Amino acid sequence: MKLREVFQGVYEVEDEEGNHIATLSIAPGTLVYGEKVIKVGGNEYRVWNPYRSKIAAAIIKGLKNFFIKPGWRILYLGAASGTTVSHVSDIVGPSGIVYAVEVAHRPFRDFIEKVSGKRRNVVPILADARNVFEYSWLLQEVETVYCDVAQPDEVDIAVMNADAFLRKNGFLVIALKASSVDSTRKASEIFEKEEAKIEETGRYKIEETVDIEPYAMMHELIVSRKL
Amino acid sequence: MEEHLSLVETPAGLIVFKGEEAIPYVFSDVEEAISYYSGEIVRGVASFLRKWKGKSILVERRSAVKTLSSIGLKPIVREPLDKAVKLRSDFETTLKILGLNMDEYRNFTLTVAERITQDRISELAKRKDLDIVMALQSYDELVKIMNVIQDRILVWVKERAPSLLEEKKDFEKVIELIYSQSSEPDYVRKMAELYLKSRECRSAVEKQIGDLMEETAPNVAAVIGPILGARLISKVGSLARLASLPASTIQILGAEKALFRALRKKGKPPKHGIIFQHPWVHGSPRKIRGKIARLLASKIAVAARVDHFSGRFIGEEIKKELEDKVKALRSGAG
Repeated sequence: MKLREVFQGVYEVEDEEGNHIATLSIAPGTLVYGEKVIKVGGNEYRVWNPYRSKIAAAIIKGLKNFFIKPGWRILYLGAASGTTVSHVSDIVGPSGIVYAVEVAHRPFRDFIEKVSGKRRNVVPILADARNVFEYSWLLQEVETVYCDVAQPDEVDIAVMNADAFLRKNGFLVIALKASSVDSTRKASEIFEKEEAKIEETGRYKIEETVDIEPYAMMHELIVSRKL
Repeated sequence: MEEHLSLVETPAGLIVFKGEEAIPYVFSDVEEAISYYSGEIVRGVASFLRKWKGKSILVERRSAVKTLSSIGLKPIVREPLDKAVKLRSDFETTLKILGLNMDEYRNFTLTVAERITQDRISELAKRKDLDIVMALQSYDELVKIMNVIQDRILVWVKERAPSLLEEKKDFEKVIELIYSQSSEPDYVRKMAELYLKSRECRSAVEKQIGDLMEETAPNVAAVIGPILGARLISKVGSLARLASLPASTIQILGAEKALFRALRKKGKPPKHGIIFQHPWVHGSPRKIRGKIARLLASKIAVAARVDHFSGRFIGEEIKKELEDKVKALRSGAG
């Protein structure tokens, strides 16, 4: 069983089916979404599916600036049922925190049961990410703001949250879905326009962008730093 | 000059800043914190905050205004609040002021957030579409009641006070005139009063339907309006059922008589049912009504599914798409 650490907290594991990336579970014995578990040396590694998690897809496609580290605090906008959040929770570990914001109560129900109950580093927040100051009392400054909300004004939402909570030099990461912004224009046009929006604020600088095809079509991850 | 008062809220406690001086209040337990952030004032918090009764105090969270005002403070929203920003970037100082260690603070954060989120989810999960059906039926009954009263009063007016009709053509104004004067017989005035009260009631029901639709089916409400949306949900019995219907069925809901007649006799099927009531359908030239009804129905189907399955709000996007397409259709035909 081959095991190699790709980033802190993210591992490449090999089994009969091939290579996978995985995270070391902080809640061993529990599954969140029917993911595969590989046991190596007494540790449980949960396979991170790039077709379900955009961050996993970005890592596989060669992401250089990885924005989640053990002990960090992450503001995660668009937690949904918690598939990706659970892996972020694994990586930041027991001393880190994931503030998980989601507006739709139905997927969040599953989230509460399967994720935040079992993992004591996830703070569930049922709120619209546009209403930043409705939940600001729960937060401390964070190292990374990760935004995956599929809304036309996603960049504005991400920037609002980053302005309020992101520490200087912190990462602002946006998973941009072209069809959510405008279903009629070309994806490359939309990516260009939204990236320009970020740079034009003068407060954030784009470090890299990763197109996550074929794991998701017309999606890109934009990684920026707060100046 | 009086020093600025600011209230910084944290999951573990409250901190009032008087200028640079920090006066903390640590919640006695998680329950007290949850009550505070759910909008209730618990004794310990109340006695702490009452020290500043009558004074203006800056606060970051808009929903805190109601709670704070009820104790007698004068909250002013400041987004962001500089003292809050400072504390968020300086965790050590926050812990020091509150006199807590990291584990205690973390425990407060996790537990308070979990409980508040759980409470909100249970509240939202209560299926309110039954209330919508009841409210809509009440609405229709009230309209019938108002019509009956109107007819009866008109009979009296035509016989005994025809001049009123000449003066004020609008029935509503006639009613108000009758109500405000003491006319004989007294029962007519009482009937006018009844009409006005029914009208008031109808407005209240309309508002309730609007609020309920906003809560349980905001996307459907955005696409065809709260009353029409409520009518569709009411016709099929629940939002769940509406979400499971194909758009073609939604299109002709309410025109069952015409539909089955056409199916049996192999004639022309209806183009629209309840949907006809939407201004975009009945307000458009006959030739394109079918296209618009079909378009509207397909968007309603999507909206109903999103409302039932996920609760996200995409109503504005759908509305915009619809407006563009309807405009295109109208200018094409007209």
